[in-house]
Amino acid sequence: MKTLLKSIYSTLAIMAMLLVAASFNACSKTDDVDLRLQTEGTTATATVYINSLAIDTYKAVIDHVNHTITVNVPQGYNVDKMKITELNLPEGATTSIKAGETVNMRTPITVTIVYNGHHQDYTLQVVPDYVEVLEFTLNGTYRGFINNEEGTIAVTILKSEDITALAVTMKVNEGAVINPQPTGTMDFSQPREFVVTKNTASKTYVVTVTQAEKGDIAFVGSGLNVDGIASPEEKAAAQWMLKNVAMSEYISFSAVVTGDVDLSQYKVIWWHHHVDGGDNPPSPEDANNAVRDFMNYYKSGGNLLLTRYALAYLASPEGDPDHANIIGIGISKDGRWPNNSWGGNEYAPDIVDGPWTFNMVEGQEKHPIFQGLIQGENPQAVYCFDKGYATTNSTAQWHIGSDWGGYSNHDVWREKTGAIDLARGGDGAVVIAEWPSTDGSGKVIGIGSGCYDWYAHEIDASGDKYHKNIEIMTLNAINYLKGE
Amino acid sequence: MNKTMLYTMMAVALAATTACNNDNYIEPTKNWDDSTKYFASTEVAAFGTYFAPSVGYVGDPMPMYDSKTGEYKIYYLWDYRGKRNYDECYHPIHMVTTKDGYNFGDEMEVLPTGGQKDQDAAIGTGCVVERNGVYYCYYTGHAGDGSEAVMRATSTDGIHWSKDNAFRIYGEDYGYDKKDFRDPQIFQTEDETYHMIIATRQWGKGTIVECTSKDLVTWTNPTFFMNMQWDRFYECPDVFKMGNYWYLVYNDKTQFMRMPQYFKGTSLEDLKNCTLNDAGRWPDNYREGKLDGKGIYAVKTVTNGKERLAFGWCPTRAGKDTGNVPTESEWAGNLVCHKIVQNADGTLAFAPATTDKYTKTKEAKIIGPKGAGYDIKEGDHTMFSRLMYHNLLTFDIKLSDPKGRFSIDFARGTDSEVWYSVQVNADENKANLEKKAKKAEEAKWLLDSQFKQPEDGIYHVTVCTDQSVCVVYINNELSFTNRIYNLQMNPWSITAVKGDLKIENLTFKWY
Repeated sequence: MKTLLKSIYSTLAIMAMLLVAASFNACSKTDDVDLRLQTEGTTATATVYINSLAIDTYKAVIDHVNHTITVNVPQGYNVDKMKITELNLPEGATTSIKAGETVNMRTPITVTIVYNGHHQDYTLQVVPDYVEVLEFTLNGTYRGFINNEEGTIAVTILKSEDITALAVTMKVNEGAVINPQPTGTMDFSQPREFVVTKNTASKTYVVTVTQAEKGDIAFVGSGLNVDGIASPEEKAAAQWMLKNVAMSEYISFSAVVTGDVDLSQYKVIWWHHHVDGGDNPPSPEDANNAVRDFMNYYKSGGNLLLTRYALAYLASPEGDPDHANIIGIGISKDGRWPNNSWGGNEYAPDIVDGPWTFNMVEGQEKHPIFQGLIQGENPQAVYCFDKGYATTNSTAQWHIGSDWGGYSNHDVWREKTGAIDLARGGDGAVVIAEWPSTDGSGKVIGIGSGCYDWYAHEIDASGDKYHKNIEIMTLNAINYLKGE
Repeated sequence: MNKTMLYTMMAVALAATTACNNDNYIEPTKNWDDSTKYFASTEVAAFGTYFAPSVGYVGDPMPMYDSKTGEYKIYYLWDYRGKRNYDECYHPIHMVTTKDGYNFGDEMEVLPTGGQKDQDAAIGTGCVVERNGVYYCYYTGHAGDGSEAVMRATSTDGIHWSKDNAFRIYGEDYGYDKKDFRDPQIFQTEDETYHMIIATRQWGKGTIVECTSKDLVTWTNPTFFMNMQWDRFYECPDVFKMGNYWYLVYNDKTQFMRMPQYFKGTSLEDLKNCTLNDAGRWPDNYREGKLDGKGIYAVKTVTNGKERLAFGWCPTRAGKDTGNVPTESEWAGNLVCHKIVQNADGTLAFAPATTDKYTKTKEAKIIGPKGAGYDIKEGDHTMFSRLMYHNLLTFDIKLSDPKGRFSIDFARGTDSEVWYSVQVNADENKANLEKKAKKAEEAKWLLDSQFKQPEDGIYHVTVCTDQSVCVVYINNELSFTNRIYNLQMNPWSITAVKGDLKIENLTFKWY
């Protein structure tokens, strides 16, 4: 077969240019091998080069070692219909694309150059220039909330810190440069500007540092303090936050009920609730008694991260129409919490035999909560833990379908709940949702996937290659809610 | 001869040698036709009826009739059966020509995949249509991130192709699925409009969309064409008109229903309404439009103006284990061609495209058990002399009980512990592929296909085999394609499973 193709190529060499160019693609892999053999066996080095190339007059950077041709264009440039405006080849060489040709560069194109009987493939790609700040931390402790669209970074630090001498750690996307380059300590008593530049893209970031007596992020739980939380699952989540989220605090529902805590000081409050056997489980009594306080907090602009059975707070204060024992603060438009909940026992978990994942909704991959995750094989999936992890598979999700549950499709679900679905299970069930701010209220992120799990009974999950994603997602969600 | 081919031939030769060391080896020259023991046969000869390339296997066929050359060009996804990584390039388009669906010319690669980062890093099914001397190939580009787009290549001879680097249709641009947007297929309506149908999803629901064109160059944006039933996904959809009816032939991706099926309508609009609001308006009332069984997939049809042929692939099975069910078959296999038969009520069935190829005649000699003949009592069987590599068997079965059962048993010697049967259960209106065994606990049902039973209990059976590919046709009602390893060069039998039966008009041809 390959022999046949080669003879075809010989014939085609004297045929019309178009046919030649098209057909050479067909044996590029074969001839790559031949080319290497010849180069190794003799002193000859096959000089199969594309000298220069431009698309829509944007000049390409050609890497003759890795055989890539990269054209940078400004961010947002329409790459679907571009023209090869320059193609400079050695005399006598031909390529599978030609000057003047229109190309769709949304995905790369393999370009084959043919010269003196040799072939070489190049990968031609158009890369929109962009800049992005990936991380901004002061004194190694205070993580800034980054809004890459607006070009703002907000950081809150304790009043005890010296705002005029703060050490900056700033990470940007590869190839981008920062001006001024953060070195030593810097004075943030006034907002500071950093300009991040990469080729044609440039963005000015304004960093604003505010100081506070106390933290503005809280975990609310059923124990009087963290040690008093009965559920290992809830305790693991609270402990992680106090250790890893700067300026975070623990508050108890009972302190809210007795009026010992003023919720208005917080920008974000996270509640993660677990009970064994989670078939529409009731919330702790104090959580139900604190409904009015949290309703005021939410309506006044306070943001909430509700995870697992804490999604009960989505329901109406009069109770979920289908489950009167589920009492919330009226976040979901239809007054309901998820229509499908279940879960196992913390002390008798299932050991999973492969990684557990859920899927980002297409179009939501860029949502802040999904950034920086550890990737698995499927780029659309969020990997939560790997084979060997112990889980209760405690879930509170929205079943979507005309068969039961009241949400025949995702459009209906969005309309009824007022939420945006960010992630779904394999069967289309909504497992992560966001309620945008309405009439001055705060924002809410709700996570009900059985994959979102903190505590693995009698299993050391520190080596689990995906479990860190639970932390990353949670931190992302807190920062996202805090930043608005 | 290239190296790959040489190695393959050496491997085949080695396999044949290995077979000689097997305890089951029988010296072919000694009483070959009278011997009754199982023979561990190998696929030493090239496939003659159900085409496979010299290296690799046939995936999704894209048949077109080339009126310029008076032959069918069968383009297909060439599956080399290597390890497939997430970002690897695979499934270039190869092509083979045929005038009858049973005899084939040289195969060749015609459209390579793109590079690892290209939109067509992997190629998926498409179609080829010729207009004014230009051949247009619309095909699926499946990128490394799983996204899919419809792409185009053009040619002046159907062999040498030029990819169009500008043409792309992305489903996500029009509200359809980013990852399921594939299998473009073109048909023409009487107003000379070309319709390109594409399999995709909208909000998760399987949907066929269409683009239209007058010149095969400029296309409208994709819009809704028809739904897929329930939660199913129809791969390789093919719309055509035959006589007074419009048809959709499709391949259900759902594992338990993974086979070719069809809908019919009295008009194109009527056809679309078959699945409107999950109407499930099947063309028949007994088999949900099934055209065959799970032993054939990715069926598309083509006409030369006189006949319409259907091409699909019969998958191989891992470990060459016929009974390896419910484990899913391997992807790709042999090209299988059926002729489409249209009944007066518009229902379709598959029949052999031609049997002319089987030119030599041989006696189907009864070799046991003692006293066996053409009349078989319930529970008994009659065994016949060994099959060759490429066989055509025709016979009639007359069941004493029209609700009875009989089986055609393959790869069966008198010493066999297991063998495989195509068993007709008239009482259940279907045929099964079954693993039979001397130890009852090893026997199991494997696959099945429903069909309409004859009221008179007479079954006109045609069996076409090409080594391990076996197609059983009955009464223009059933076509049942299966992979049965070691069928060739072994005895076969007919068993009266329930009720007595009579065998008549038995013929045995081969080549």
